[in-house]
Amino acid sequence: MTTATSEAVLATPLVHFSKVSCGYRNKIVFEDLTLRLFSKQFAGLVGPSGAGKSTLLKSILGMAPLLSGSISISGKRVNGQPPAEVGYVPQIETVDWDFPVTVEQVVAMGLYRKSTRLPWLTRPERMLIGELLERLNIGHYVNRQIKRLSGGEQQRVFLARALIADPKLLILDEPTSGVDVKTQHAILHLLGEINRKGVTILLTTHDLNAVARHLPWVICFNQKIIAQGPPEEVFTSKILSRTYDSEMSVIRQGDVMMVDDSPHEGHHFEKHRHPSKKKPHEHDGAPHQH
Amino acid sequence: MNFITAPLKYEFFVHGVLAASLVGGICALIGVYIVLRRMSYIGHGLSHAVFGGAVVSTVMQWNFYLGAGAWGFLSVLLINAVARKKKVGADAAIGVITTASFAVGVAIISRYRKFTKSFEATLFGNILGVTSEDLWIITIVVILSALLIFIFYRQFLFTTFDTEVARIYGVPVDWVERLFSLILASVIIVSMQVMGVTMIAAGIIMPAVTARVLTDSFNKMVFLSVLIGTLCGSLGMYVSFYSDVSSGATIVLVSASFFLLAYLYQMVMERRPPKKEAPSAQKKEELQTHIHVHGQEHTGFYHVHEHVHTETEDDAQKKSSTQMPPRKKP
Repeated sequence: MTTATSEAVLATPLVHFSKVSCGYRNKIVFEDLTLRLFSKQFAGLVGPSGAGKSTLLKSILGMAPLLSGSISISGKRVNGQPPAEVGYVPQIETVDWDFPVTVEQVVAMGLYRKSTRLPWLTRPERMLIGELLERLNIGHYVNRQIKRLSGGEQQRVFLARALIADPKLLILDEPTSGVDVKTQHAILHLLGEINRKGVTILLTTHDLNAVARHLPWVICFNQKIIAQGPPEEVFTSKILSRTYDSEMSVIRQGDVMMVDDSPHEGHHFEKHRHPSKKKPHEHDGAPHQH
Repeated sequence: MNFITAPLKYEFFVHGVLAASLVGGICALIGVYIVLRRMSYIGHGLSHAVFGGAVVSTVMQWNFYLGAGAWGFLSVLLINAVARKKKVGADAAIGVITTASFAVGVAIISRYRKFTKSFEATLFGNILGVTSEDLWIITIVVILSALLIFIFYRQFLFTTFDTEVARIYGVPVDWVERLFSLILASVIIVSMQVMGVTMIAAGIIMPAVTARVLTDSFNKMVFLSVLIGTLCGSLGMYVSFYSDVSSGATIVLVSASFFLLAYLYQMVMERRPPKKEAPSAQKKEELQTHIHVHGQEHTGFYHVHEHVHTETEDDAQKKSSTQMPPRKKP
């Protein structure tokens, strides 16, 4: 567990789900979910497609229909209104790349709540955007159309839009999908740096090995929380198989852990289970404070 | 010059040119948002829906602008509501609601045949009949619509770019959509007399598409679209005057010519070899300049040469993974 996460567990929760049921007409996505996300935590939400990961993220953003229970952020209840202290990065596959907007215009969208509402950008707004883009190493692309950037740069632009309003919590929907392995690691590394500066991060991903390498905390989710904790504790064949409803194998060699993330039937094996590690926290929705 | 000034002696032409230029400009402005939302068909559909409203307001003896405007506004709200259902796409929603509304107009006309003549003007435009009062109404609608789009520029841009994320970032999306629907309905009502129901869609879509072909910048697209729309409106009027062809048709044909020219220009530009972009200051810093020694064997000789060259980190990595290690000096 990283220092940031260790400090986090002692604090009051930033996000608190209390017996939340969420769903759409004729379909309940998850029921009686209790979850706490602490300040400065950097957590990954993993699970199969259709597990309800995106609905969980949307419920924090006040965009998913809440059937019962309550969600609060910094003690304030989320009542169908997107909370101001949350920055959101959508899946880059959902972005219309042909739309004629520049990097600066996209990042300025993130300033909406704080902006003067003038049709043009003010000098302080331009400076703020410029500084952030410089920090993210894309300062020289201010006036470039978003399609004319590489996958990693595009992801940084949307990250900048989420960060420009100084959010306490950053939510990212599959930030590593659609980019190459090198870019995946660069993005997760960058998110780690942002987290160390005090921003709580919750992201969804299908890349279990990237989670194992970069994230200090993981939540295995399939309509309920199967387990949560540090990846080296949670990523076991048993837990992953339960999460994905299919046989999954984990290979460990010393400190190196490798998840065979192509679910297969038949042999269920786990090599070199780390002897020093504690038993992972397995539960059916009940929260565990680590 | 006489070619330009001669028609201006006629009051009907001056009214017509002013109306066509104003309508051309404002249709082109809202066209930018419609094209980028990929709802190009809505201009066509809504003008047909408004036709139903125009007929009903005449039969009921309501004010044409208010009756048809309210009908158009309700039609857009209905289209948005139906389009939100995931099983029915926006195109299908437009098709259902607007054709049903148009059919209401046709049914009433066939029941009360005495209106046929005036509704022909609604269908195909009657720019010669633009009165001073019409011109005032057009001017007020154009100024108000442009002002609203200017004031809510950020909201319209964010909502058009990504509706769902705009909502998350606090933009009152539903309210913005309603405002846009109101502007759209108003613009279509005032454009009916100039372009006719059948041609309005082209007035909305063509300048915006032409501008999109020419630029990758949203601000430039807005500027170019309005410029092209205004030019097409006035040029189309002159062509109509000299060729004795319906003004709606000439405006659309001039717009189509602009699009064709832009498209050809774009094709030519695409075929030109791309310019090498000069590296930015930041990129320059990333470039590493260093001296090293290559040992290479070719054409049977092994020789060593020392030189300076620049390479990016990526190049260096690529090289190290693809090149054999240099052989030791014999």
